[in-house]
Amino acid sequence: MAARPAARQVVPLGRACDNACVFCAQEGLPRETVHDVVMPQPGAEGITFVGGEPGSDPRLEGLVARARAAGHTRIGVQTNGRALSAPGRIEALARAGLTDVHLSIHGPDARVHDWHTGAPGSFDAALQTLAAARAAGLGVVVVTVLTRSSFRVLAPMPRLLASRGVAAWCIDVPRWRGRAQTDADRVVPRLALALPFALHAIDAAEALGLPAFVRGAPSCLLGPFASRALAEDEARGFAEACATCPSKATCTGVDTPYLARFGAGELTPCPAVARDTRRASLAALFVGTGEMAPVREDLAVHPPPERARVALPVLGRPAPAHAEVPAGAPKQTGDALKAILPDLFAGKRGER
Amino acid sequence: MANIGYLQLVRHCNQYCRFCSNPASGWMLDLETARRAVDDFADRGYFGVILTGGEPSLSPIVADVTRHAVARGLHVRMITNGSKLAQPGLAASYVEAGLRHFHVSIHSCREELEDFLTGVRGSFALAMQALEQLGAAGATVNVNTVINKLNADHLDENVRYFVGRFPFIGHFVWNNLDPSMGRAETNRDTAHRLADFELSLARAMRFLHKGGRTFRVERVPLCYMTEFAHCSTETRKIVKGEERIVHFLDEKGTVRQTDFRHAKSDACKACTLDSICGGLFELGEHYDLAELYPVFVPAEEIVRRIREDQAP
Repeated sequence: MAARPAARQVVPLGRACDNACVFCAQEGLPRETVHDVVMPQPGAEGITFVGGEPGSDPRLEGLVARARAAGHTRIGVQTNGRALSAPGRIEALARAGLTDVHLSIHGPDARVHDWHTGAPGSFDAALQTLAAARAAGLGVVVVTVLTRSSFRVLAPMPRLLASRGVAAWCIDVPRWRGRAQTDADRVVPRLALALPFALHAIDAAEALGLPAFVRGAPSCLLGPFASRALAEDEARGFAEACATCPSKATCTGVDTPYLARFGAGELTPCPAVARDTRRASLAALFVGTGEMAPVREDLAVHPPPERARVALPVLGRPAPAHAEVPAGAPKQTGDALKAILPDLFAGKRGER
Repeated sequence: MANIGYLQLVRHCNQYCRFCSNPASGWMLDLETARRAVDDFADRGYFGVILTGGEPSLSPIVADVTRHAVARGLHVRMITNGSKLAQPGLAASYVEAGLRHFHVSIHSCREELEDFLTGVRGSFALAMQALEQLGAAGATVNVNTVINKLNADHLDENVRYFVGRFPFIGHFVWNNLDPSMGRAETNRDTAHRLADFELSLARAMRFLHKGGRTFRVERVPLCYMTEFAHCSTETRKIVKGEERIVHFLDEKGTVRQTDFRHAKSDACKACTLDSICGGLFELGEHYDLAELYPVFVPAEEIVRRIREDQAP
């Protein structure tokens, strides 16, 4: 898989977070703070502070100023926007040298977003942060995680984001890690069902002039939008059918527990895809999930149905039901039916 | 409202399905009792009666019950495995009596699997002959399928096969396996998870919808059929305020069902479809509340479509 081109350098501040997202890939990792923040050397693509939630870290303004003093000119923060919605926070960060904000917005309204974050009020706060950032002249990009609960309501997202001056949007397929692993049944969508909705939304976004990307979806399920796929640091997993796929070199694949759960029936070899490099600097802003909880091996993955059917010939004749009588047993009928259907004989029909 | 009553004529059967929900009980309906039940449905203003079982075509009173029900103004249907209807003449005689609507239970278009699921070699071939006989007799023919672990991945292949071979089949019914009763309780290999059928059911529904065909889905929570929520049996009954009476030939006896809402999870409280969703029919070892998730599509559109649709 091709390396990420000119990626931003990320600066982790720790994993404490004020949201409780249903898909959190860091769930299970220690929530410690990074005490000795290492500031990278200035580079072409700049740096992004990541968490947990960097906005909850009181050191953030000072670290941004330190980065600026060290010569960084492009400084971003990946945030859920809650803590940063406090009056004056964004303005202070802008004064310290922040240049862009990478917001997580997981649905087109409070009902959808707040369910995903587990935090009532978080949608309104994110929009406040978005408005403050734009007013302060900062660039804003938005990530939306594609879940079972969000994929059907992506359609209003492009207009919501475009009308608020968002510079780019990325739809992220959740990693099968952390809470997205323990609650995979509830969270991780079937890709062949969910991605068509994502592609329609990307199409609508582009029509509104909002550059849109997708991350974590295999090329063969992206149709005409395969060039909008963002690279990941490492590929997920591949099916046997992918071995000869011309697009494998640029494909992110599928998480291996997903393949174990659903099989590889959704994946088919597809033509090689050239990544859209015209928007590389926008794409570079989407720094991704960062360090994730390891895949838990103790959690069982239910096998897909076709695997169950392999055992068909040896399953044998079914066992009778608990209350079943032999087929040839004497039949009870006529007056005996009064025992089980008394109302039909009680002369009070129509009153039950 | 279009309430339909269920009448089990017999409980024995010429098949032995691994997931049979109403296996042999030793009880059998006689004509006198059946007429009482039909009269009761008619007195209640019911739209129709469904003859079921066991295998109702094994009952000697089918034609007489049908004639009585038709005389009382009821629409009559039968849910059958079709094995007996494969014989020339029987379908035509039922149609002649006024029984013109059949739900033929077929669970897979893969012959070996169908015979395995029904426990009788040759049952697939007989079902195909029954479809031919019913088509030739001019009956309305639906296909009923119990969703289970072994067909969950090819529900779409099933409908393409049946529509291709029998274009007169205009309506399909899927019943999600009830793992709490009958042989599904003692044969756990048929129990699936909701996500096992999600994709193939979605493809099957889309295919039928595109071809102008109709379908109903029973015991599937709306988050597993969101795009066709208006085709959920439970949702339609909730929206229309319908009920149903089943006369079981076992200790359950007469059951009048007016509430079609079952177990939900905490996550369902956030769902916009909660008030019109039947939830999870049975909390067996396999269906799992952890599979339920909220969707946020508007319920109003679904309710409107159901109210505007006159079909039962």
